[in-house]
Amino acid sequence: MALAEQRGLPQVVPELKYQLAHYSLVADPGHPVDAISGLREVLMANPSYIAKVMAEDDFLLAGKKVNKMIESVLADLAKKLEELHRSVSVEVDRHKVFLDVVQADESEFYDTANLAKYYDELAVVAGLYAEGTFEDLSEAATRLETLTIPISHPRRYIYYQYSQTYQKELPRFYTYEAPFQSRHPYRAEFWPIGGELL
Amino acid sequence: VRIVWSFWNKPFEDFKPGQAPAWTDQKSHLLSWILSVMTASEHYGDDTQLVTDDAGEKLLVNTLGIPFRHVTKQLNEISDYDPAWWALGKIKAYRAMDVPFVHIDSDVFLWSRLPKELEEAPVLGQNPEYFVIGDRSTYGSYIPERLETSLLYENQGWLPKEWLWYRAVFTNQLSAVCCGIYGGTKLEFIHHCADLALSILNHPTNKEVFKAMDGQTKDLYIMLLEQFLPVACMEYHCDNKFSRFNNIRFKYLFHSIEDAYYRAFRTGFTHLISDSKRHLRVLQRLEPLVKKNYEHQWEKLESWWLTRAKR
Repeated sequence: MALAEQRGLPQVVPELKYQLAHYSLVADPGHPVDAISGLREVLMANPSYIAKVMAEDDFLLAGKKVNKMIESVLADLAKKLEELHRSVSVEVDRHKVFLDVVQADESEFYDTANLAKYYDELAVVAGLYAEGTFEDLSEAATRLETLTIPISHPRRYIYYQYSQTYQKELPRFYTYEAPFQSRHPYRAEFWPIGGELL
Repeated sequence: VRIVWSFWNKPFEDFKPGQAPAWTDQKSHLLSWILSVMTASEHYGDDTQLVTDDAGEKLLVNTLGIPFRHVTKQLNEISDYDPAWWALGKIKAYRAMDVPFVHIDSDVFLWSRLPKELEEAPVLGQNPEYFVIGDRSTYGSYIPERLETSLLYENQGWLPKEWLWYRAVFTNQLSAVCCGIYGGTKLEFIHHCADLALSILNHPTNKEVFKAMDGQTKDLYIMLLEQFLPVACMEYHCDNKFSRFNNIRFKYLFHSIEDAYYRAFRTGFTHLISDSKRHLRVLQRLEPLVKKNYEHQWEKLESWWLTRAKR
């Protein structure tokens, strides 16, 4: 088999498979709060979970799977918000949410505490979304921005990229400097691009 | 399209831990060489080239048995240069190419073939790197203003018009091209950029200024010549409708570093960028992977490494 094929095959460890299968059964896709909280509980209840996945060398793939699930939950969330606030452009906000997920890159999965904190805070915001606490999406987006999520690549890179290339399309809540610095040891220049393929 | 690597033996022999190209040891560096060539050869095996010098050919081809379709030795011509100009071998290789090519760094692994539109691009790079002068948090290793001060303000040195124009018009919001992969079909433009870089190094006054600089500074400046200068050239010539390079724009594999981190997995692309070469996980994975898949080259490397260690 070609090496590329060998490297491209996701091999999730059995325990993770079980956890994900279990999670997908219990979570109601139409209820983002439960979905995110459910995932958080799975992670919190298994402190050795990440370590085990790491030991199996498949933790990055595991991380990707988890991210994918969060993405789909957030997509549902965006749909729900669209129903509630038809006058607001959800597309932009979906993009914002998407970026937030992207920024929680795989290296964060090295650190269980950071991971739990991330999903914990995300769950709080998601909960507030679903309860209709926020007047509008920008208020919720502001809340998302102030999360103390440790990120690997400071988001100012994204800001500069967008400010130069897509100046006119720049949503207003991009025009800020990152309110937090990465506390994570794996900064962008220390993390291989596509390292999970190794 | 031809896939090209360049190996300048002088910086390799001048190895110091932590200094560019940042490997922890020479063995890891060579493991990466094996993996880079062998993975890309799965897709481009019929047209690969090594641009090197005599010592490089001896090490990579004769000793380690890494297969290349073509081997040329233009890097013998730069044997007198300071090895601190570590990317000079790459620039020289770009200049040496006479067919459309993609140069890939030895820390880049192509698990899949590159997209066709990229292979056919007039000039291509891995991704743009946006930076702001004075803000070290945005690619702080790009410091054109320091080189300008040294060459133009403190001395009567020289920089090309493309550089000066780009800095004057774009002021402090600039970009460079990450050259993990670099090349294209418009050889004339690529040669022009390489010639300008070599002219900067060889200008009599500049040369005197460079002599007084330490290795770390040169390490940063050579990146400007390799990665910043081509973008300055592109912007300058795109703005000049009378230029023969007027319609040439870079095509990138990724549209930003963020995009690279996010899409590399799906693209089948790995780049052990910068200090990630020292990442423990990378070092732990590299050798078993090479040993398992390219045992022949691994055995030769092991034997070379043991012999060297005994010395």
